[in-house]
Amino acid sequence: MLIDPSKCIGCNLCVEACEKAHGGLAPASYYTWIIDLKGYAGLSYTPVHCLHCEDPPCVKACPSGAMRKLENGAVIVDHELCIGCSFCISSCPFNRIHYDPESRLVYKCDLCYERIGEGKKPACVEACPYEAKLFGDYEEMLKIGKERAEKLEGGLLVYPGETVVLYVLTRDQLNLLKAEYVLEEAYPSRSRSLMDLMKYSRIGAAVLFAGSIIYFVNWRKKRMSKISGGEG
Amino acid sequence: MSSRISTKPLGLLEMLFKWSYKTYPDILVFHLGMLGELVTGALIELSSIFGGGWILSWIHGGFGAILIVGGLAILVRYLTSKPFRLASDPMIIIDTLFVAVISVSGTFMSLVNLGFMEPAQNPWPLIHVVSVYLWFVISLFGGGAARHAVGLLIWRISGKDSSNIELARNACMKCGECIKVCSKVTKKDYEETPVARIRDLLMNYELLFESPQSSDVKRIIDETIYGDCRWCKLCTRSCPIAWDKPEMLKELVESLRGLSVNLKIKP
Repeated sequence: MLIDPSKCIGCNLCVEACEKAHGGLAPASYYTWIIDLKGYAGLSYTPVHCLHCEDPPCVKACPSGAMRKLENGAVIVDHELCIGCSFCISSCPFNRIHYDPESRLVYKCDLCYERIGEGKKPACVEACPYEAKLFGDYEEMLKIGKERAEKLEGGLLVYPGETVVLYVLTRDQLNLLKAEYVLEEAYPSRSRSLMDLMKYSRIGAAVLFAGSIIYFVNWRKKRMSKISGGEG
Repeated sequence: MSSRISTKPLGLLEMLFKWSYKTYPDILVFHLGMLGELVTGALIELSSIFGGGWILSWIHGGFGAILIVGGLAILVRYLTSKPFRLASDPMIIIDTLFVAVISVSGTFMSLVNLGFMEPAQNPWPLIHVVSVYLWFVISLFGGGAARHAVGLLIWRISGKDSSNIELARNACMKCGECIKVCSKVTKKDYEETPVARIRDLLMNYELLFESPQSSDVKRIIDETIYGDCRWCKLCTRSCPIAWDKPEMLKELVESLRGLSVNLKIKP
């Protein structure tokens, strides 16, 4: 998916379409929302939702296996498995996951993976009348994104290869969105490595724990046989 | 061998519910919280296989609150009771620090889930999980709480093998009851009681094998088991695991003498 914030006029049609598509399970603001940028750096508004990282830290953080990366690129929450622990929220470098205090579960953009499966476009892309959001093959999106970025002065594509959702921005616009805590300069891989630390601490501790218990039992056995051998 | 145990050690449940309820209820509260945390925490980690993580994570938070209440009560008692401080070793400080870090990070996570704090990118889950596993490993290898739990289990299961110093050292609850009762009998200060000094030597029993000739070791042996100790065995009877400390040290000294280690002590 490609997002071109310079074409966004803040009409909220995408948010309404999202509300409809997700059947009122939770407010659409948990999935996607619009930020008012008041015309700074030539941007009036920008749509914001999950970037669907290629190697998502939230999937690594999830203890219950509810957060999954699908083959079509979407990162989704399985609400049957979600335990509402908010580990994923703590791991998300872009703050795109929302905790619902009513159901005590987390909600995030699911890239309308069911619609994609049916061959349709995500609801927000279909609803956008200004081509601020485009959806298609990843290679194709990269190509269009590069073309659009070349047309802009100092234009660049944000996080190609790191995320499924790409932004076309100028340097000033990226700095503006950085100040608004929407994006970062480069993909923040530190959250990935921190979640790796969490994941492997589980495995490492389990191995060490089991190993030390085996060692302790063996040590005791040896010691007992030594004692009984000494007496006999 | 002579029978070392003048009273039977308590069963694990008896120890937890009866002994700690009667003597130190804070231990009961803390251990109920801790056991609940361990069980629910392990089940949450396995919830991707067995499910039920949502309700488990709330029970986990509830046990956390119980644990914090009990832990604070124990902390207050530690700071006010000298026998308790004398009986504990430096690992209790490391254990306490870890439990504090885990409790604080868990509290922050609960505050987010209860709606008192805005959910945002934060380090609490990372700190919580990593410090829990780090603590398990450190306390098992360093002789802290995890070693105490394993030691106590084996002490019970293996039929109260009270000749095993290593096992007794790990199973010991470090409650200080023996020192308290000995002080009443011998009318000595807590540090000066025979049982406190015997316990110190047994807790560092490597000294007996490495340097049995050192004057410190000899003085302690002379002044306690061949000196002030009245062999009343009140320390064993008050001990929840019925660890007969004077008898164990005496047998150890005599077996070392049998191995022709000259301790040059009074008979």
